[in-house]
Amino acid sequence: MSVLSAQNLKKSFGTTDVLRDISFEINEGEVLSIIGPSGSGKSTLLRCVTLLERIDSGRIAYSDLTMADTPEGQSKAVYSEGAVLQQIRRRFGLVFQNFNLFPHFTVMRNIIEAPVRVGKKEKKMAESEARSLLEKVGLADREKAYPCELSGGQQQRVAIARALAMQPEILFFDEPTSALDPELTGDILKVIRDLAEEHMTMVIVTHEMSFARDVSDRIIFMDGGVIVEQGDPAQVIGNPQSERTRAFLSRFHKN
Amino acid sequence: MSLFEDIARILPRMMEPLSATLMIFVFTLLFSLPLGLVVAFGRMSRIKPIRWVAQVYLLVMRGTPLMLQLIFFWFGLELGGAGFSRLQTAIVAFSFNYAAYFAEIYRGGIESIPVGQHEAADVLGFSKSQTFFRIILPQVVKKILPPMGNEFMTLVKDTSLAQVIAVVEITSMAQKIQVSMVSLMPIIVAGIFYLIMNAIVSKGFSLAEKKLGYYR
Amino acid sequence: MKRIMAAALVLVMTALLFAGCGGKKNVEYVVLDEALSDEQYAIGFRKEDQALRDEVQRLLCEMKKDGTLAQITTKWFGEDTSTVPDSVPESTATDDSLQKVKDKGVLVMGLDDSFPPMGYRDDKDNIVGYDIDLATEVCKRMGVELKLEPITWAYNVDELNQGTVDCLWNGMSINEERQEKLNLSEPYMENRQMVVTLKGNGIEKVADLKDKVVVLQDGSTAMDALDGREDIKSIIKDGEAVRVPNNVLAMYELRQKTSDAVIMDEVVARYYISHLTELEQDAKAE
Repeated sequence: MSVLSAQNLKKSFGTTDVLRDISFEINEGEVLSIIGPSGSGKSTLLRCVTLLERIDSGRIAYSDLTMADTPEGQSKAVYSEGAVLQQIRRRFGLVFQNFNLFPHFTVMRNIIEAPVRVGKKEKKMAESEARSLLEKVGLADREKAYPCELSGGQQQRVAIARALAMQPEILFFDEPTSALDPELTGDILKVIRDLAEEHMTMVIVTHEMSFARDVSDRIIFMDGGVIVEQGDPAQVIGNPQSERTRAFLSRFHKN
Repeated sequence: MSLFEDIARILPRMMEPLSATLMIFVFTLLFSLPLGLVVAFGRMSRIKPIRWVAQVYLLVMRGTPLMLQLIFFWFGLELGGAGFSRLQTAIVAFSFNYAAYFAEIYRGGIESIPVGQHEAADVLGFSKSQTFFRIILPQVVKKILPPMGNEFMTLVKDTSLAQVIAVVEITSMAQKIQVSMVSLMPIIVAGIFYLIMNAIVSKGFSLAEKKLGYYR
Repeated sequence: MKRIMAAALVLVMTALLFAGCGGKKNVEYVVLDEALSDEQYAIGFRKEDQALRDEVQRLLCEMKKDGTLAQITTKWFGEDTSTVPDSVPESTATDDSLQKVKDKGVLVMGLDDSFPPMGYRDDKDNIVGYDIDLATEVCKRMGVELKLEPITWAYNVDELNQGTVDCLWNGMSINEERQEKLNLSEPYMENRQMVVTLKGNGIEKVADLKDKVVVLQDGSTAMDALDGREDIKSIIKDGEAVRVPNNVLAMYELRQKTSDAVIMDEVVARYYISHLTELEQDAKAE
């Protein structure tokens, strides 16, 4: 059953069409990677399904909850009321390229603030859950640290723990390793790999081709605001059908 | 008659005006700090007429001398005739004036917080007010401490302008004593009062900065 | 905190040192015999407040008759220099201004509380002076309380019209503008604008002010007086007097020789000279 379904998404900034009729679905337990050159619209797509941007037209739904839909014969998408959107926000988590941790909170407070304030969870309970999440991302001893005292890789792992603390049904990653030094990406990728093994539903926008191939159940290649090609990793990366996919991938193989 | 005796004669008479000076300082902050936040929101509003009103307010309050504003509130709006005391009128005028400066400091602070902080809070499901008061404002406070310190110290000194509507504060009292004592000493004593007040303000701000220095 | 106090203390000491040295200069003040202008003091009321003005005037005349006025004037000036008339025609005013003051039970008197000897603050911060004594007596006879309201003198007419004060009574010289905007009492004292200088400055008559630096209080009638004497104004240095916020500063200008002469009210000048001379003698005695 699909956790998220997006149909005919269109989005433009001014006169630039960023998304041109994008449709995709993701099923429970599936790991989907989105690859493509810069400016292909993959980050915008992620921002649209996480409510950071609004689509112009199309339909987005999280299983039984509709985020936005475009009525028959109209060209503008209509968003659901605030309460529904708030419910939808509770279903997904997002890990940013730049971590976006709250600098004035400790690691612990970064993780428990949302469960306590938004999820109305008891503080003690939230803290014990946070500790097991920190253990999971390999930072069990850093709960009292402030973000500025952590390396980029550690900060990103805290950000993952923060997103997981809200127990999302689906977790989005927006180029989670792009802001890190190459030698620091391994820890992050390991955490994501562990999550995949636990059958966490995930959508990952990434430039790490070999990682995408290893961890994903399915890969989408985007270019110029459209999905050029999708399928299982071995097929899209190993044996691309489209000329554009081949051209894009060849740049990585050279390295 | 020694000069120490002079000072001993001046000090007791400075106590009442000192309380007037402190009242202006404290109440102006009490009113203008929140009012400034409202004006800052108005200035950043997406609704054009609100933004426009805020801009005019900022222009008028920052573009004209506080002394003229005091005269305007007392004689122009005739707040005295409407039952306000001189001190109250001074506090009203100071509050409106300082709110404009605080508003721009707030705005600068708020706009300097990276958009990613708003987005992270949004994705985690924080409401707009939770996002502002728990995530954004604490970071803004840290960023605006240095310009706020400046503004607070200027306010301490600006209280002397209240004498234009005959509020008896430190400077005007010093001048009154000067006239009957025929001496410059009251002015020097007044200067030392301001110096001590501002030393305390300055110390307070450096303590606050130290306290908020636990993160970058 | 300790360091702050220490710094403050050092400042005080330095200030004392300077003030102490300044006091030891030996100077002698002189008032020229020749006045710059003659004027008169009067009490000001709102234009429409005829009944109140007439009652205050009537009481002043009554005080003159029974000798109280002479007694108060002598106390402050050593002789009776008041010019209150013996009698005034009976009031025909029909407005309610007097009744209002009586109903309130207070007469609010607007004054500049730094204008000795007419109105100023003593060491205990009581506002005292010649005008205060007069007004206290008038109010006693009227059966109301006197409330002293210090105002910024430059805005005296605005204060009156706004209703924050009932009268302006503080050595206020009569001039054309005040005659037009205010309801003035009969003149109660003569005043002259005088030139004060230091002995040895080479100024013996008004004409000697040629190319001299003249200083006066901003907003005072001394300014009007100088404006009315184009012959003098045109010969002083820069064709314009230096303006300072009050007369003490004007006297300091004179003493430290940044100015050659001060123009001020005669009554005020006499007060300052006696005060300053006393201070100089104290300084020398130390």
